[in-house]
Amino acid sequence: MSAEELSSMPLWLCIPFAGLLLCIAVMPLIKPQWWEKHQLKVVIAWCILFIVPFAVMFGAGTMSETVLECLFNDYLTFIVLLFGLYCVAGNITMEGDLAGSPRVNILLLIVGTFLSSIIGTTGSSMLMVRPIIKMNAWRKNRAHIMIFFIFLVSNIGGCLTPIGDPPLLMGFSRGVPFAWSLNLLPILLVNMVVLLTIFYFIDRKYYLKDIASGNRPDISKAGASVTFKGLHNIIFIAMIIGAVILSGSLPKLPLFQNANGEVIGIHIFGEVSFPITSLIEVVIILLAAFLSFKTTKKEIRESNHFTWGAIKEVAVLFIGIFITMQPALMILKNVGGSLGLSQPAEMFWVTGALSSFLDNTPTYLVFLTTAGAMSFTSGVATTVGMIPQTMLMAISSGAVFMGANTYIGNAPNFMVKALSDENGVRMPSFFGYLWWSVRFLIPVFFLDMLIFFLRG
Amino acid sequence: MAIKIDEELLRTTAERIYNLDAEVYKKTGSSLGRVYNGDKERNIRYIQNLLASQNTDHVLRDEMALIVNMAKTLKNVSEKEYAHIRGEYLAIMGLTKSIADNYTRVDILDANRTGIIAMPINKRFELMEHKIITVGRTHGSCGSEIGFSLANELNINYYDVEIFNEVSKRLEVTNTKEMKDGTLVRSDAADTSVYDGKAFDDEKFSLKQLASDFKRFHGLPRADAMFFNQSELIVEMAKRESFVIMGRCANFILTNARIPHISIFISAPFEQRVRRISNIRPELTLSQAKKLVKKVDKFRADEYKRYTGQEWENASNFDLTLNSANYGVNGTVEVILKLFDDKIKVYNKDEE
Repeated sequence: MSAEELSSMPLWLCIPFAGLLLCIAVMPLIKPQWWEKHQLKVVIAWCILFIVPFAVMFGAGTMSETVLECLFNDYLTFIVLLFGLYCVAGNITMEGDLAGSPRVNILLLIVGTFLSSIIGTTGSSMLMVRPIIKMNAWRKNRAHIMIFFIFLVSNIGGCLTPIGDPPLLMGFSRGVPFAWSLNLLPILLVNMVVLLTIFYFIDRKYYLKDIASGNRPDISKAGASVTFKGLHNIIFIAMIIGAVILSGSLPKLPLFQNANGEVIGIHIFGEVSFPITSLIEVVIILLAAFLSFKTTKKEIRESNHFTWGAIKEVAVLFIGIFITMQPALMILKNVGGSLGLSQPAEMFWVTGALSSFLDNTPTYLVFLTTAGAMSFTSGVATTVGMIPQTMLMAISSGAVFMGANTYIGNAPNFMVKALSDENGVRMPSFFGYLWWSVRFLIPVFFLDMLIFFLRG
Repeated sequence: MAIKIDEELLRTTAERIYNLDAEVYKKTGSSLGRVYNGDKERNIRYIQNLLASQNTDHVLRDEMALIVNMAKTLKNVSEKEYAHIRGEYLAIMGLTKSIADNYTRVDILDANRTGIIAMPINKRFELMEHKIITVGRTHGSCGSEIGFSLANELNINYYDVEIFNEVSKRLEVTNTKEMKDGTLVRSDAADTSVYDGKAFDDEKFSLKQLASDFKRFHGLPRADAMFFNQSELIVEMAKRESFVIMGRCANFILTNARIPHISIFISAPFEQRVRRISNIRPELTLSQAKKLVKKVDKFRADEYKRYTGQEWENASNFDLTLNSANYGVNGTVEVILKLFDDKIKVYNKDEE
């Protein structure tokens, strides 16, 4: 789209996006069976309600380019990555009789949080979610465990490396050094200490409530044992992580660039092309998923209660989210630079607030670009300009951490919710979850601001 | 206004819900996803309470939704089997609705205890396969002596520290120092239970011990692992023999397991108890005896609160609360036996 078209984007075109979000939030509460049966139709309806007026305003060509660009360059890589990790993690099972208790849960959350920076928040979530559900299967009150899992493992933990979360990978591909995000370690540690302390007291309260209700784990065997099956799938997880890293580094190589320095791609329509580097990423991930299925026994998947339901639900809902949120992203791109944001704390909250509802990667990019255009003379040198250390930390933290605020803030959030629902854990509604993040996450982020982002 | 519950309808509906969950769970072939885990009877009772309560229909609805969600993920299930599951779900939902429309609830009876505590003693003995009496007591109130005498009079077993020792053996806890310092030491006489009030967690462990305990106790705190094993042992024992059991939150464990029993709490005025302890243990000064009584009571109260969520000395947790200072040991035993008098004679006669 041209700059002129961008600037004329009306706010009312965001109504389908808001409508879809409202459906995701409210329909499971008021008409759960109907919603489950007609999700795809509702998503298609909201997409049409965006596409048609958009086409009328900007022409069918622009509309087609916008939708195809979104589908090929945002949604496809997103869903393939999620699919790949979902398949491979589903082929690894943990058999054991550790009993879920506050200390065990805290240990698992710590392991999962740090694992997120190594294999990504999605990979870590998919790998850890079933063991944590299994260990706590004897308990009645478990939703809070999965909520803090989403907070820490599915979001906050992914801040230490570009592999951890897609926004950081985008930063890496725009010149932020690979090891730079280790600067976020102090913030991660503060958040972990505070959240895990809160979690301990909440989990302890529910743990004792479960005991008082007469729930008991099966610890008849003296001594616990933990065994993993399907561990060879770690190779395929490594393959997927490798594909993600390649997607960030290959575009910089001249081999994959044309004469104009743009990444070579397969032409789709108009100005839309699908980069070869993304195709390589997609192929590697799908291959990893295929090999994982081929080399793993069906019994392991059955033991994990592996179903296609959760990934199907995410795929259906997020295609609608990605398409209908395009006007919101375009408006953000247009006005982001003129919001008058100049302080790290402001960047932290605005990037974060928008990342809570929009895809955090483009949100990160908008504010990274805005910061880069502010003509700073010292800081981290990126392809969009020089950005002061604290400013970059604020944008990165906002984008990564605040994806935890809602179920749709980050890819694994909804996946963990769907898997938990499928496995006997009664998760809160959209607003119910939002209430948890308002009570426990926002104060922590406020603390982050006070400690780390009030200085320039 | 007294209101009537159709207990049988509640029971059969609860059983159908439990069985549906079991059927769906079995077909998944997985250890994840079960809505109603653990003891069957306890779960059925839980579902009955949800059905009977006016304020928890949304909880039951959510749980039924979880079962149906799981059913929808079933693979390798024929159309007929799925139709059966679906049909059963719809039938149950119809039943729950009719229950909600037709039932009324007794306003004071605790639904959780109905069938055990609220009925007359003579009815209780008819239901009780074995005579089980739990005795909670404050320190120094002669609770152990009374329990022991009661067991002798009724010609049934008496359990106190034996439970702890058996559980320790099961869990392969072999630290004899721990057993000596951290538990009741019971002499051969009726009540010289001497307790120094030292809990497990007062012990300082090395990192190696912590790691070993983590594995041995399945990641649970040692005290919790002991409690869970103890609970299992008490329930097992209750199914095969009659006994008097001291403390161990036994009344709570047996109520949750839906095992009929009589629960008694023995106490006495603080000064009386302190005086008695300082007589039994002449090496303690009066001040030390006071501290010991408070410490032991606090330990028991904290333990009880931790595992039951209830206040230890709350009379509503027990069938009978007695002030042993009013009657002495023999007098208290007589009062208790008098309550069961006629029926005990009949019961003993039947046993002969």
